[in-house]
Amino acid sequence: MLHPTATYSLPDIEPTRFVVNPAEARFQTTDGKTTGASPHVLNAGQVDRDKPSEPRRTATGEMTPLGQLRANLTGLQDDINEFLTHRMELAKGKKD
Amino acid sequence: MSQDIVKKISSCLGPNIPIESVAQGAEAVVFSTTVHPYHPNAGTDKKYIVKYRPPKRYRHPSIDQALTKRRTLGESRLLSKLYLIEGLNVPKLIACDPYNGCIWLEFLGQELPNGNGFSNLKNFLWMYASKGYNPHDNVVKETLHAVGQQIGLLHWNDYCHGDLTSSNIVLGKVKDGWKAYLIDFGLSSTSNLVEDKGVDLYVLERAIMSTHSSYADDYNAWLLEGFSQVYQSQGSKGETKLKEVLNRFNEVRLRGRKRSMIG
Amino acid sequence: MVNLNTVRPKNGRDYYIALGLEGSANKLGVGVLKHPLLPQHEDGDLSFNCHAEILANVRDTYITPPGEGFLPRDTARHHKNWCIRLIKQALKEASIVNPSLDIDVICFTKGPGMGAPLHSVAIAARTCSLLWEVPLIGVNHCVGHIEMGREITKAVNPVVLYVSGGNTQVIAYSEKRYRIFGETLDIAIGNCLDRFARTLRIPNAPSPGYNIEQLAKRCANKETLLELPYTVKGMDLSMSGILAYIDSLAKDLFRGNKKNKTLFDPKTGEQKVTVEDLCYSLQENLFAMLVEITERAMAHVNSNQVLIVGGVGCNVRLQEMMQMMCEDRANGQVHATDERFCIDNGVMIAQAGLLQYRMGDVVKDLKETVVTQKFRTDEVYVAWRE
Repeated sequence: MLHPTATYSLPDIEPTRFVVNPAEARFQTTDGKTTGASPHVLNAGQVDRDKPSEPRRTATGEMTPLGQLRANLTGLQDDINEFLTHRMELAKGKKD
Repeated sequence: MSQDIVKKISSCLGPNIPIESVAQGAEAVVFSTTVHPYHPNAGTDKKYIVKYRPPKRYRHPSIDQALTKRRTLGESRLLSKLYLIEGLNVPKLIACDPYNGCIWLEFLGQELPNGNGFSNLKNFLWMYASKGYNPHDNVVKETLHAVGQQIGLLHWNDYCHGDLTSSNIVLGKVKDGWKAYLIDFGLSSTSNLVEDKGVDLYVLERAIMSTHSSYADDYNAWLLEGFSQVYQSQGSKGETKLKEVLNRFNEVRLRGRKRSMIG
Repeated sequence: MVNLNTVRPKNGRDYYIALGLEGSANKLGVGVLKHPLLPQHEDGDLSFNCHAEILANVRDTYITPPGEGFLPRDTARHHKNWCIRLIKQALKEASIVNPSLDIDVICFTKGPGMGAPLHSVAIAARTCSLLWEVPLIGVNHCVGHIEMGREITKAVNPVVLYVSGGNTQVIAYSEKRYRIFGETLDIAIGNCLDRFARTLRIPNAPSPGYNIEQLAKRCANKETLLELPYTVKGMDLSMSGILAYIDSLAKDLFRGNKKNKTLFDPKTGEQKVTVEDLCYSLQENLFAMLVEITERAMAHVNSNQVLIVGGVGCNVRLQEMMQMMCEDRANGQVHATDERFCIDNGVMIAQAGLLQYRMGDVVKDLKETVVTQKFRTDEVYVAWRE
């Protein structure tokens, strides 16, 4: 099956491509590392009830195609978010 | 008008002061009487206005009493200061009872000819828009110039009316025209902020546009001419300030007076 | 006169169905609404009586721990992860089997509101629209409140007091627009109450405003009111001053600052004022200001009817005070809805959206579905009223 990809491009740098590696753990869950509740709220005592639902599985325990797609996207989103955060920190560093 | 309100004010004033109801606004009710509040020899050929702020039962009594006193006093103080400004025409303050929320004022204005009602600007303009009259008559232009000048004087002295509508401008007949008076300073304040002045002008412009739409463009232009004359007669300082006020007025227009909201 | 049947229902049906999606703040609402196709709507001014039938009205609220407000990121996350569940639930309750055939239009909140949460819901709306090939319409959140209020209460042309966490406006209809007569110069009343609730660290469930109302009810000393700044300026009001002051009182109370003579007796050091007293005084002052500016608008437009909409409209004390003011004005009346419709919900978006749709408004290009944090009530052209 086809996997989603993402490309980040700006005039001044080489485009960055994000791909799915289905074997890696972050592409097998819908509970992303960067898409959880904010630490600030958790520290204030929040019980998180807003997690995305688990990926749907068939009778044999395999993820359904849509379930897989959701899991793939979760990992991809994590990669994108980390990349963008890094870019923001670089930009901040340049400003300081 | 609620009988309750008439009863309350009558009990404040006592049996010797007969009153006739004139108007009811959001905050205050207006009566007229021919009896002077404290002058023993005033006679009964003159009329006076009694502006009464009745208690509002929806709010807590301590808020109500504090507000009534503060606003009655505030309006009275403002009126007495404005009366002293040369060239500015406002009603003369005769008496003030802040605890009962009562203000006595001189009676301004008169009946317009041909049953056109009381001589406020609204009725005056409606009269000139009616059959047999010319809405672009020179009298209208000069009267609106005079009104503009009053507002100009008010603003030049760093006061803002707060509720400039054509009902709050009263005209008194003089030899060859009409003298313009500003009334109802319940929402007024001292202010040197261009924003407040811009909003004042905008409120009047909108009021004219909504009640006299067919000729509003001309009427508003004439008002502004009179307004500008006051500032222009004050030399270069006046010119600068005039530009500031008019610029802000334009901004307020574009903004629609009200700011953008969030959420 | 207006023709509300300008656009006909899909598939030759004699009724319209709209799906409404709302998420401008911390409440995510999904509603399914039905309007019958009626001949009297062809040539009348009856948009306050659509004979609307509510087929589903589900909502989930993102609630934070006491002392915390809701921030965009987590609110958007809540909406993103709950919207499918709620939409599915709503469709099931409404017995919608085939959305492509059964739904005429998908209505979503275009604004105003918080950016990220609005965005989450817009994405859901666009996705459903593309998936089912159903047209979209963007709705102004405030107009949604107004139209729902009109339909539920059947008030024909009242002055509307719209009071919520994000808005405080006095509105009257005139010539195809909902004109804003008076509004807050700084913060909204719901925001003021919510922030005070945070200072008091009271729970945010079911809503901070509700909990302040209950505390105020329990005030034992209603004859004495604390003196708070009263800040009505003409047709507008300001609340940041009163909030700052009452926040400082609350903090002094918690810290036991005996120097504060309002709170503590200077000789005995005894506490004179309770948290209930603070809540009571705050409400009495804030609501008196709201009633005053509403009364001014009523005098201006010569109306004796008031419709209260928005979350703070659930407050019984506010309704009582407004009722008293209205009675004193030529026997006027107050109209209000209950928490199903006062508080942000999806049905109100469907109601306003469906009225827009029936008059021929619809999204022609997805670019039009960008959400906007600032969206004034008077920017909407009210085609469905005379």
